[in-house]
Amino acid sequence: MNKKRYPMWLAVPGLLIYITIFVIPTFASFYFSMTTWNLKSSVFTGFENFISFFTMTSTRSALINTAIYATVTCSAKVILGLLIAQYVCSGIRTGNYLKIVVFFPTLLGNVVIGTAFQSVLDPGGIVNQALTGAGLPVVRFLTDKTIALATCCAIDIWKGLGTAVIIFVAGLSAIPRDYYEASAIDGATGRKNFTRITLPLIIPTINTVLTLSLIGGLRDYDLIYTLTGGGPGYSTEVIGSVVYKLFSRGSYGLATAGNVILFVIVSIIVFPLNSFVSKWEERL
Amino acid sequence: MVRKRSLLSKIVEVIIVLATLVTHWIIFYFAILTSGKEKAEAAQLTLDLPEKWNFIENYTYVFQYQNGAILKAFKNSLILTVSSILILVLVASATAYVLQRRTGGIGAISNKLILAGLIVPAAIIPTYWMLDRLHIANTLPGLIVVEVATLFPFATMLYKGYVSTIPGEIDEAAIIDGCGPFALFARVIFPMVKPITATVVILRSIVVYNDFQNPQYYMSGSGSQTVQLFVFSLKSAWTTDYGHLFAAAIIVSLPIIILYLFLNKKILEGMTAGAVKG
Repeated sequence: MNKKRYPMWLAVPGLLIYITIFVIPTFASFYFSMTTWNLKSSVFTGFENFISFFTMTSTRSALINTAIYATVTCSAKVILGLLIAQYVCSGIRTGNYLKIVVFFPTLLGNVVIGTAFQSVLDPGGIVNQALTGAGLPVVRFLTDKTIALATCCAIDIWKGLGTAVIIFVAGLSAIPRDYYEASAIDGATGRKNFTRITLPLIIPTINTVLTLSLIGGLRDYDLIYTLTGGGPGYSTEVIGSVVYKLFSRGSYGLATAGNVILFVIVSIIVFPLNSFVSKWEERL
Repeated sequence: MVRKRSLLSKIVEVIIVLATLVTHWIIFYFAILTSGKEKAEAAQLTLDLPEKWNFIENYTYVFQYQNGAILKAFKNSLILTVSSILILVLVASATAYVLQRRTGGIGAISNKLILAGLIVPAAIIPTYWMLDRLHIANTLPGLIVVEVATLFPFATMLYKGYVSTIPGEIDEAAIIDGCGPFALFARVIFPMVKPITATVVILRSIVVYNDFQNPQYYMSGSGSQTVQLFVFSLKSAWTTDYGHLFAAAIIVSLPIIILYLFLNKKILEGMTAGAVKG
């Protein structure tokens, strides 16, 4: 009965595109990562690509930078996002204005954001004009090895915070008002309300924001690439940008090995984290 | 939550609102001003008003650059965005509907594959290899199917969640009224999932229009560009020509900003669809 009423062929176009363009290449990547490959023909070389990938000078920096970038941007989006959302929902008059302003950068492309911040943070740009005006030294935000990555993190947070805030605002407004009214009768204060009512009930939303921004932080490279191109040196190189550079110079097997490593890293972090947070949620 | 607000909390609010002038407005103001300055003046990167108002010249120059390359880029971005979203809506809703209504078998495996696609990164070069095999590498159709495949898992999960709230009795009634399996989906179910369709259309259009990574991989080997690739190429061509560069960046961002002005409520609502459980 079900088979006739809900024919599988309706699902075929979608599954066909998805399996051809996403699933098969994903499985194929495990094979091609162990080959020397020019798209037409491939020679099996075992783990050679992985060995060369890990011995490349840029890889060590890329791995460390990816870890820092993903951790910093993700935790900032969760913590700041929740704080701003909580503030926006606290009945202030400018709540709607703040929501819209914080959200606005989400509408812009990463190339546009990269262009704007390169000029704003230029050694002669408006930020440094303000710093020198206040008698402070010029800061080379994007060209100083020691702070370039921090600058990229800050810009990514600036861009991604809007999404986090909007999702948290929805999560907060889904909490029934009665809980707060009941706790007010019991004499609970603001902080108690937050730790005893808001936080436990907002954990599913935290899980969503955490997962989304962690995945983004681990695999996106385009904002960094338009800001610094991975430099100066390897100071802002991430796995995504290393893979792109290997691809553009034609080292397909090696680039695919980098891709597989990214696949493994994302999987071993995100899948367990997701189930860990769900368990934590059940306990509360 | 009506309560008396202290003077302190009002002061804090004013400070926070003023802070957005520095964190957001100054950057937009700077971009707009710079897009109206002559080359030498723009290169000073100041917040001063332009000595010579060069808006019309700068914007016309961008449109005329390389015989209207920006218009071709707009055309490509428009085709890319409209076709990938149209295909995505049709195939994701149909797949979600069938997978939600049938249980077990191929459906269960497909479900697992789709869920995994939400998390794992795409295998980029093998995807390029696949497109090459299908003779659509470095073409707009190739990029379109990549965008569809990339957005497919999330859209399908959204549709599935919504279809599960439509009772099976509706299907029964439609069948009794003489609907065939296709008409049941196309004329009964598809119109009912409109809220998700609206969300997918509005939000994923922004994502596809602004996408840089996929076009960079799957289109940069061809002669044609999307608007994002176009601005990126100008970034290296006009390194010190900030007036023209910012004019181009603003032109390219305008369609989405205009969309947002009209649909901001829908966009903000859509952001949260499927993101908040219960």
